Amino acid sequence: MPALLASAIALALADPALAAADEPILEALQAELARTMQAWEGQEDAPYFLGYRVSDSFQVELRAEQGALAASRADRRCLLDVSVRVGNPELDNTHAIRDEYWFNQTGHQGLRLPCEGDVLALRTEIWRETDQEIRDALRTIHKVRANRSVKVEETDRSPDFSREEPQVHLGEPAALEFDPRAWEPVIAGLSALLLADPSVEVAMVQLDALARTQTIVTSEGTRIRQPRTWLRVAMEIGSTAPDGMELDLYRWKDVHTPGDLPSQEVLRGWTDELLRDHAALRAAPRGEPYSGPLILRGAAAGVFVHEVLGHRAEGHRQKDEDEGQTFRDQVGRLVTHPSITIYDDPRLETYANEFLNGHYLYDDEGQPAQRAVIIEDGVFRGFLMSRSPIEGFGQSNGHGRAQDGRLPVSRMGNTVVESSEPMPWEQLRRRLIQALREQGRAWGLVVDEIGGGFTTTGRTFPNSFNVRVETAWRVYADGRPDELVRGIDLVGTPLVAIGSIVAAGDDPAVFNGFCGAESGSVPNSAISPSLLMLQMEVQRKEKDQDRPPLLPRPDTEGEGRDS
Amino acid sequence: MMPTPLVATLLLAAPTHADPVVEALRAELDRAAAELALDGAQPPYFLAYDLMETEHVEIRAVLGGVIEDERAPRRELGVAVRVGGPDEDNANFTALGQGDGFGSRDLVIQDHPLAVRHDAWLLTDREYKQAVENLARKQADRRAEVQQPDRPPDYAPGDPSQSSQPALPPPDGDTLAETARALSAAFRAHPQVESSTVYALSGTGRRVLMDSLGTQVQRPLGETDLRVVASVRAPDGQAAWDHASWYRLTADQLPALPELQAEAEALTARLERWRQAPSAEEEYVGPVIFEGDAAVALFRSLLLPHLSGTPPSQKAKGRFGQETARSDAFRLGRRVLPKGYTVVDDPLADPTSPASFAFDDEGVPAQRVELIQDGVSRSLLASRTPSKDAPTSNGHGRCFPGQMARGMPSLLAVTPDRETSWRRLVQKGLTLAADYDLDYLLVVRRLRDPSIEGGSDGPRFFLAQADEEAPVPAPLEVVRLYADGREEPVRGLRFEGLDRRSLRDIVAAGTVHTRSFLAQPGGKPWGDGATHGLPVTLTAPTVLLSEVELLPDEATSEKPPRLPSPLEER
Repeated sequence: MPALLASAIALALADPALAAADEPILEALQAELARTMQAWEGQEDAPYFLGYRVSDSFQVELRAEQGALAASRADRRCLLDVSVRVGNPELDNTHAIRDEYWFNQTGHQGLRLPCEGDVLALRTEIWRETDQEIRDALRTIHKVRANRSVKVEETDRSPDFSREEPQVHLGEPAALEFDPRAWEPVIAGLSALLLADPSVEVAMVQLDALARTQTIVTSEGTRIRQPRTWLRVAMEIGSTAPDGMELDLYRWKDVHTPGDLPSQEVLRGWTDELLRDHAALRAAPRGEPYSGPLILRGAAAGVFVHEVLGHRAEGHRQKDEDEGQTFRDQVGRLVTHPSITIYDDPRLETYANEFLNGHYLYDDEGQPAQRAVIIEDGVFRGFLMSRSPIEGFGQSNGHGRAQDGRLPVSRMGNTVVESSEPMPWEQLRRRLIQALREQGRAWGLVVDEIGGGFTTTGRTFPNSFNVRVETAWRVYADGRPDELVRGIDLVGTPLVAIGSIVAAGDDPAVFNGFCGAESGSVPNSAISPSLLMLQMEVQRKEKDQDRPPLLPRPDTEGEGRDS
Repeated sequence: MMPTPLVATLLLAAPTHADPVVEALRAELDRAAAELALDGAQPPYFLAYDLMETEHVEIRAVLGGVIEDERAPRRELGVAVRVGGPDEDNANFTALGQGDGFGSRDLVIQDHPLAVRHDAWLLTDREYKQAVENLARKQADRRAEVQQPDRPPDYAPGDPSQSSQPALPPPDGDTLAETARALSAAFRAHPQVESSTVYALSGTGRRVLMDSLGTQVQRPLGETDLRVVASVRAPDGQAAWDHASWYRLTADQLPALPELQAEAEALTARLERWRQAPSAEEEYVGPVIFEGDAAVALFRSLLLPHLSGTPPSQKAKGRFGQETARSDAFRLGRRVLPKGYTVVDDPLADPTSPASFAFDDEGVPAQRVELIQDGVSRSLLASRTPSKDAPTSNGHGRCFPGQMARGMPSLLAVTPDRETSWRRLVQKGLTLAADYDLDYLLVVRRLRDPSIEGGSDGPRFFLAQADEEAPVPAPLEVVRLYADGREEPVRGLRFEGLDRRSLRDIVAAGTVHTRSFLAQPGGKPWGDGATHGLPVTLTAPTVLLSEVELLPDEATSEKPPRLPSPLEER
C-alpha cells in the first residue's frame, strides 16, 4: 500500500494539468469578492476591506524509524482564509480589545475548499465563510468601540490598517517532480545505519516535500499568485543517558528542489557524524550553571538572535499594551556592538550557498517583501512591519505572515546578522580566552549545536529567552583541551544579552526552521556568523527521571540479529 | 466457561504461513514476560499485546469536489502490563497526568521484525515502569481506607484462547472517493441547504491479541462509515443539522449509489420539512411515540450507559480528597423495562455487522448474554476486570489498543413479547392523549445526533458525552398526529426530565428497527464518527411512552446570511 500511494502522488505532483488547476480558484475568489462588496455598498458597517487567501498544497511525508518505513503519506489540501475589516482604517475590528485576553478570539481557522471542483462549488463555500467572517467582524467592532471608550488612552494611537498600493503578480503555480517511492528504501536504510550503536533508542529519518500555490485577492485590487516548493531531509538519533536525561541530536537540510537534496553518500556521512556525536554526548559530563564569556557558534548564533531580538522587533507587538515593547524606545540608540548590522530580507533565496526557508516575494497580506533593517552599525533602526502601523512606522515592509488558517501579523523571514569586522575562528577563540583571563575565569563555553528555543515577550511573565543547547564545549583559559558538556540551556534577558555581543566571526551559517507565534507556524531562516558575548548565562536543562530501558535492545540480543 | 468446540474449529482454520509481525511481537512479549524486572519491584504477572493493523481511507467531499483524501496504512500496538497479582494490581486506577501500565504507540508500517520488536520493547518498558508506580499509588490509597471485606479481585484470568481468522482486504479508496463526490454533488441542486459535507471513512485489516498466559487470537477488523451531513436555517434563524449514515463492516457492503442518493434526497426533504415547520411555542405533556430511528436513539441514550459490569476506574486521592467513582450500571433484580421485554447482547448474532466478534478484546470467546428478562435486570456485560455483579468475563471486554477492556455491548437487541401494529399504537396513543385534553399526540421520528456539531467549516464529529441534565438529545423530526391521520410538523422542542426511569413508562411497542453506530468503551453512549468509538448494532422497537414532557427550546438564533447562496444563481 505505501508504494502504491507514493506512486500516485508522484504522478499528481508532476501532472501539469493538476498544477494549473488554480484558475477556477482565482475566478471564484474574484466573483465572490465583487458580489460581497457590491451587496454591502452603502450599508452601515459595511466591510471597508475584504481579502481572500487560498493555499493549495500537495504534501508528502515519509518517515523511517528503527530501520523500517514508519509513515508514507501524501495529501492535497486547499485552505481559504478570509480577512474582513469593518469600521475604517483608523479603528477597525482587528483592534486589540484590552483586558479581554483570549476571550476575544473569533475562532478563525480557515475553510477547506473543494479545489478540484468547479467555480460554483468554490463560490458556495467562499460565500459561507465570508458570511461567517463578516458576522464575527461586526460582533467585534462593537466590542472594540466600547472598549476604547471605557479604557484609558492607548500609548500608541496609530491606525489599525495601513494604506498600500494594490499589487498584481501572477506567478506560475507550484510544481514539484518528486517520486517519494524511490526514497522509501533510502530513508529506511539510513535509519538502520543509526542503530549501529546499541544504546540508540530513536533512529529516525524523515523526508518532507511541499508544493504550495498561494492565491491572494483583495478588495483593493491586489491579485497575487506565488509558488513555494520545499523539501526537508532530517535525521534524529536519541537515547536515554544513565542519569535519565533524554539525549537527542538532529541534522537536517531544507532545499527548494529535489535535485538539491543531499546525495545518499552525504546522508550516510551524516549518520556517521550523528553516531560519533551521540556517543561523545553520552560520555560527556553534565554542564553546570554559568555566567561569563561565551561563543555562540554559527547557526546557534542565528537562533539566539531570532529569539532575543527578532520577536521583539515584530512591529505589531509595539502597540500591544500587554507586550514588553523592549525596543520601542530604543530607536536611534546603540544597543549592541557598532560592528553589528541585523536585517530581515525575505527576498533572499540563498545565503552562503544555502537555501533559505524564509524566502518569499509577497507576504501573506499581498505586500512585496522588503529588506527591513533592524540594527545598523549597532544602532536600533526599525521593526518588521505588517499592515498594522505603529508610531513612526506607518507602512508595511512585507512582513505580514501567517500559517494557513490564521490571520497575519508581523513575523520574521530571513533574519541576517552581519559584521563589519569579521574575524577568523581562531582569532575569535583567542578573544574568548582573553576575556576569560580578564575576568579571572578558568573556563568559558562555546555553544555549537542548538535544538531551537523560545521566548516570552509579554509583561506578565519575565521578558526572557531560552535557547536549547544540544552540545557545548568547555574551553579552558590555561590551554587544556576542550571538554564536551551536555544538559544546559542558554537563558537571559534581551537588552543585556544583545548588548553583550563584542565580536563576530567570518563564518556565516544558516539555520532553517519553522517559528511558532500567534499567527501560527511560518518558515524562516536565521543567518549569523559566530558571536562572542562577554556575559551570558546558562542553566541546567530539564531532564526526565526515568531509567534507561531495562532490557537490551532486541537486535542486540543474539536471537534476533539475522532477522 | 469457554465453548471448546468453537475454539477447536477456529484453530483448524488457522493459517500456517509465517507472519513476521506477529512472530516478532510474540518474541518480544515472551522476552519481556520472562526477563522484565525492576530492582526492588515485582515483575509483571500478566502482559498482553494488542495489534491493530489497517489500511485506512478518509475522504471528505463538498458539492462534487473532494476536500480531504487521506490514505495510509496504520499499525498501532497496545500493551497491557499488570503488576501485583489478580487480587490487587495496577489496573483500573488513575492518577492525574500519570500512566497506569496500559498504553499504545504507532508501529513501523513495514513488515520488519526487528523494527517491530524495537517499538514493542520501548512501549513495554515504559508501561511496566508506570504499572509499578501505579500499583504503589493504588496500594497507598487503599491502605488509608477502611477495608472492604467483599471487594472483588482486580483481575479474573480465564483460559487462554487461540484462533486465527483472515484479515479483511484493503478498502478501494478510489471508489469511495467517487461515491463521496457523487453524493456531495446532489446538494448543488438544493440552494436552501446551507452547508453539506459527505464524509467517508473505511479501515480494514486485522486485530491480533496475544498475552503471557498463552492467548493468541487474530480477528478480521473493519469499519466503514459513510455520512451525508447537511444543515438548513429556518426563516427565524434557527439551524438544524441532520445526516444520512451507513455504518458497515466493509465499503462493498454499502448500498449502490442510486440508493445512497435517494437517502441523501430524503435527508434534504426531511430538512426542508423541518425548515418549513412552525416553531413550537408551548410545552407538551402527554404520550409520545418514538418511531424507528428515534426509538433506537432513545434506547441508545437510556439503556446503553447502564449495561457494563466493569467497575469504573478509581481516581487517586489528592490533598483535597476525590469523589469515589460509582458504577452507573443497572442493579441486578431491579425492574428496568415493563414486563415482557427482553434485552440480549449477542456478538455473533450477525457476522456481517461491524460490531460482531468471535473473541472479545481480551481474547475471551464471545457469549450471548440475556441482560434483561421480562423487564428485570439479570446480568451485565463483563470483562476480565470483575465486579460483584459481573464476577467473570462473558466475552464483552472491549477497548482500543492500550486501554483496559470494559464490558460493552456489541449486537444489542430489545425485544417486546408482543408487537403492536402502527394503527393500534396510534389508537392507544390518542386514547392516552385524551386524558391530557389533547386531540393529537406527538410522534418523534428523529433525534439530533450530538456527535455531529455544525460549524462554519462544516460538520465536526466528536465525542459527546451523556449529559446528566438531558441524557436524551433534542428531537429533530416531530409531528403532531391527529385521529384523522393528519400530520403537522413542529420544530424547536427539547425533552424535559426524560431519563432511564422513563423506560418503565413504555406502554406498547411496534416493529423493530436496527442501526449501527459507534460508542465509547465504558458505557458512554455517543461515539466519535472517525476514530473514537467502537461499533455497536442496536435493534429496538418503535415505542409508545405514556407521558413525556417537551419544552420549547429557547436557544437564540443567528440571522440568515445577507447574500443568497451562489447556487441560487443557477
